[in-house]
Amino acid sequence: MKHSLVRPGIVAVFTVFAALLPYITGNLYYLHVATVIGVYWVLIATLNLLVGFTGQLSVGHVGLLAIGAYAFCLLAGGQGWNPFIALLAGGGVCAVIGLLLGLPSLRLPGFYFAMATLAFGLIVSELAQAEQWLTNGSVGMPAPSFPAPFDTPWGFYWLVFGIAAFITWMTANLARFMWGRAMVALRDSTVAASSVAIPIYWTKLIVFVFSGFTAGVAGGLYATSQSYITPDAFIVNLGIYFFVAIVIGGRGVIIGPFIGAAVLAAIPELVGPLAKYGTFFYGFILLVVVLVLPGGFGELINTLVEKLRRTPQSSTHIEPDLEQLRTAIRPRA
Amino acid sequence: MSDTLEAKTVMKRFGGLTAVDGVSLELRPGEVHGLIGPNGSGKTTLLNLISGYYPIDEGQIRLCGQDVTRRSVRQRSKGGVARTFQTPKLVLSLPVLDNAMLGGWPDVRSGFLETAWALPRPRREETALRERAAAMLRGVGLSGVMDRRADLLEHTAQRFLEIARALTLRPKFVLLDEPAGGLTVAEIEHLGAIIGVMRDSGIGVLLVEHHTDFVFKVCDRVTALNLGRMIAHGSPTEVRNDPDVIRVYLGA
Repeated sequence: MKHSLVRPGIVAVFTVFAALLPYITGNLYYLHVATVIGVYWVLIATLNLLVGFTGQLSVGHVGLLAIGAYAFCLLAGGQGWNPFIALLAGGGVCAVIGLLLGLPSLRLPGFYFAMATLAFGLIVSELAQAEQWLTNGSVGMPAPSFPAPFDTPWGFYWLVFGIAAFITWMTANLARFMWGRAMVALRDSTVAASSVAIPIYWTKLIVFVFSGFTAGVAGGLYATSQSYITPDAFIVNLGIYFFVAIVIGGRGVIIGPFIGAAVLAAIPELVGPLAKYGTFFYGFILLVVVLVLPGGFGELINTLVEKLRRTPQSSTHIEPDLEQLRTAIRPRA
Repeated sequence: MSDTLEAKTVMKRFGGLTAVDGVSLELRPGEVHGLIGPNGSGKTTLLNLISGYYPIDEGQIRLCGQDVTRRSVRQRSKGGVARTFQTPKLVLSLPVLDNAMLGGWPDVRSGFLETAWALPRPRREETALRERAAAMLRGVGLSGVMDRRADLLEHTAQRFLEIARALTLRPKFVLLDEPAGGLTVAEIEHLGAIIGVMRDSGIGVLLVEHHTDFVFKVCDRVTALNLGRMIAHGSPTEVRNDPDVIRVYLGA
């Protein structure tokens, strides 16, 4: 929705850096952390459309991540499907489940919708544990890897990077055209949204289904990145972390939550000896953001970008141009 | 055949209170229809009934001959009924231009995935709507603030932005809920001129307003309400000189 060279510049530099990361660091462990950030981002990027843009507070996306992961492992592992087909199928399953979950729950007011998604996350986590015939229970199951050239750590990193970039591009497109305005409008003022004929329920539902699909895809990638999945990986806390990533990143800013995703993946891995305090740091950052930067880091960045390209604003003195108005209302055919 | 927006013996109760009691009103294209009355007389309620924000208890709303009584706000907006609000309802986190562009939503044909993939149609629609909304904003006098976030706009400018958004919808009818509230004398002049252009362009305008001098000046017909009932109806001169209107509202 904004035109300037600053933002595309930042995005380009970041993209080149991320694409060349395997050359920059030879450390496989760092590469693994970067891969996990990418996997989380696949989910968080579209969850941000739902939470940040559309204002629907879902804390249960971990349930969709889990279903995507198990579907991928069962189809690509057990059934021997091509991993790429299985990845898409996992996304498809989650899109359908998102539809079934969204149909009743998106009619609820915000708080109750959040509770419904929380319940969903809890149920999935419980079923993964209990339905041993399907999930092996707490024993878990191995995750298949992708065929060459994506079977190496850097190959898989590039696969995740490519998918994440593609999804980011889609969310950015959605945000900058009319659909993005419609999402923000129904978040900020349902009265205004309905006055311009925006289909509120339908818009929420389609965003939810889209975020369900990518959560399923993220699930498959997550499974491969961990090479083995157990129900412990999909506790409801993770769903809350995703949600928090968006709050930290700044709702309604496309790349803002990337910071949240990076912090989420990096803290437990990189802080090392402090790993057991990972949740503490995450909570601490959340607290600081909520108290000091309610708009999140994304808004901070936006404000700085605005400052860089600040143009003097003329006054709000209202001086109608009636000729212009006449032709605008009744354009010559 | 009919091209009017009609309220027929409309009734609305809130609990024991009858807010609108059997009021009929016909809004014709190219005509400015004023709706006046003391506080609590049911003006804004009637506007909400016509635009669909409240369900009506009895009576009928007809849009261009079609019964829209049970239709949603959204369906009525798509049918060409635009409105503004007493307290402007804007998307405050979006720039002024984006707010006006929202009025073009009924003309958006691009689907969700089409937009996600930035195919030609969403791009085309984006350009067209941007131009349409910008022209409306220049038309109502907001050309200097198009990139400003709506929450940084003064209250009066927000009123004009709402009008621009309503017009971007290319409506047949526009319902204005106290648009002159808080405006300076000069701004009221501008508002009157804008309403004049709307009328000349064939739009039917319903003007709910307390500023009676303004109403009598710009309206072709006026309806006066008191306690939910219509007490007078006719030309501005007739209503201004109506004894009931003088007694309950205008004062001697």
